[in-house]
Amino acid sequence: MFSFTNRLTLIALGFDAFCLNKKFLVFNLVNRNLKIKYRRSFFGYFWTILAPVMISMIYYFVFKVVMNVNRPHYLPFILAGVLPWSFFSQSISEATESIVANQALISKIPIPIHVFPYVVSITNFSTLFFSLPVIFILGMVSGVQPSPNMLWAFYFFGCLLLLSYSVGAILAVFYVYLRDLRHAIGLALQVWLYATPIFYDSSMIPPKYHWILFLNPVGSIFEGIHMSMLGSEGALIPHVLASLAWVTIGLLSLRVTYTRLRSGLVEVL
Amino acid sequence: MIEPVISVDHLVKEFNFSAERPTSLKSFLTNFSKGTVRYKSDVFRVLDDVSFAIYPGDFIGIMGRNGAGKSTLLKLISGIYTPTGGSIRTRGVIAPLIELGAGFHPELTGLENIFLNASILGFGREATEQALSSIIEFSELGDHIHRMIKNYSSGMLVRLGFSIATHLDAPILLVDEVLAVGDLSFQRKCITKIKELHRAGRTIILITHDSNSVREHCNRCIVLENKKKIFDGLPKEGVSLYESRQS
Repeated sequence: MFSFTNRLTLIALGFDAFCLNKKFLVFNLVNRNLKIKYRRSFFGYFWTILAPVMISMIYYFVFKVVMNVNRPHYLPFILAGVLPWSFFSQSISEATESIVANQALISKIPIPIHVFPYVVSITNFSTLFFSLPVIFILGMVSGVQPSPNMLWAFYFFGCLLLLSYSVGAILAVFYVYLRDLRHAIGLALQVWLYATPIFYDSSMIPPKYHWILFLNPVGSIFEGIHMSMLGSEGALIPHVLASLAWVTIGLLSLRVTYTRLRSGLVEVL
Repeated sequence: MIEPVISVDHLVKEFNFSAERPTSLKSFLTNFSKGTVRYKSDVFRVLDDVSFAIYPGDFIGIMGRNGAGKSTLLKLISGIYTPTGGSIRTRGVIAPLIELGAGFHPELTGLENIFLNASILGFGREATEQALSSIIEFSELGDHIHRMIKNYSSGMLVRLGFSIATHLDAPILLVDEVLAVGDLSFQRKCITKIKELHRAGRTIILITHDSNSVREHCNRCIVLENKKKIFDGLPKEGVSLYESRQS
């Protein structure tokens, strides 16, 4: 079973992109990150939920109370956008620096370099995964009706994980050569945040601009998360397909980056 | 005929320093105004046409002065660098003792670090669990194994790192002068352990500029000088050649 998956990854991506031969290594690195994050922290995991909830409340106050946005279930709506976004932006900015940060290790031990951005994505995703119940609970309290459509959320979260890994791992390689990226990415993520349907959805933007949503690699993913988790109206299928297309583009770019630029990278570090 | 565990064929390694040209706009502009923008490649050869084979059970000493290309060779053999020309073929897992305790995290316990370090060295869960008790025993850490390693002395850290690297079941061991660390009694213990592994059939590659350890332990010696292999044969002769070149 696993050898089949391994072979499939090798054919599709040209290298062991998901570290299937290095599961024990990935497990230990993720385990280390999580342990370090919560060691000696009294509230521990609570903080990872508290921060996005606070941010959501601030935005709720700004958009709902002050600017009077008319959208049902607006608090869980914002949270369902803010949580995956903080995963996405944090993964990308951490992953970008991950190869350079582990330079000491990479130049001394034979280790596949993409393990580091991969581990960043997995670590952040596991915290996201455990905070999903909060969105669900808040949605229920707010009166969202549970429906089988909610299962689509897992699909969109999966797409987001793959996309964050591809983007992060590609940037990590470029960051070795170009240290400006750190600043550029911070800025780009700010713009990207507002270009993504997090505080709004497609029903709030004029129909003639809807196509822009599909040009945003994560546009459909966030639209899809909102739709599936909060039972909003509209067709889910276009977003399912658009997400798939962007994930495919992301993974193929990952393939090109790593098969072309990987050799000789350690020497430059 | 015995097949070699490592065969190095006409190995060439070059570093391209043009990759380290100005990487920021500021330095680009200052260089540009000085007229020193260089895009010509600045290639530096570190190893030139090196060939040799290592057979199972060998205890090889690779000697050479600073800058002779020892460490580069080591990194090529362990697969960290890719060769510019020629080829390296290896059979079996290589345990690189280039750095002891690679990836150790100060806020984790000794035990947690064993798993972390072993997986970074490329070993799986089963191999690590099998070796666990002998690793802990050899490290002489006792109950300290459950403490965070930031509270360890440097001697304890070295003991743990060495213990992990040598107790995992790797047929080839690459040793890079790590033996120079730790106190005298532990150094002796390390040498004994490495000789014991050699007797058990492992292949040992020792990179050093200490003539004594090569003369005492190795059955073969390779001397590198100025990017090339200048000697491959008995340790006695190799060491005297190396020493005559020193003066």
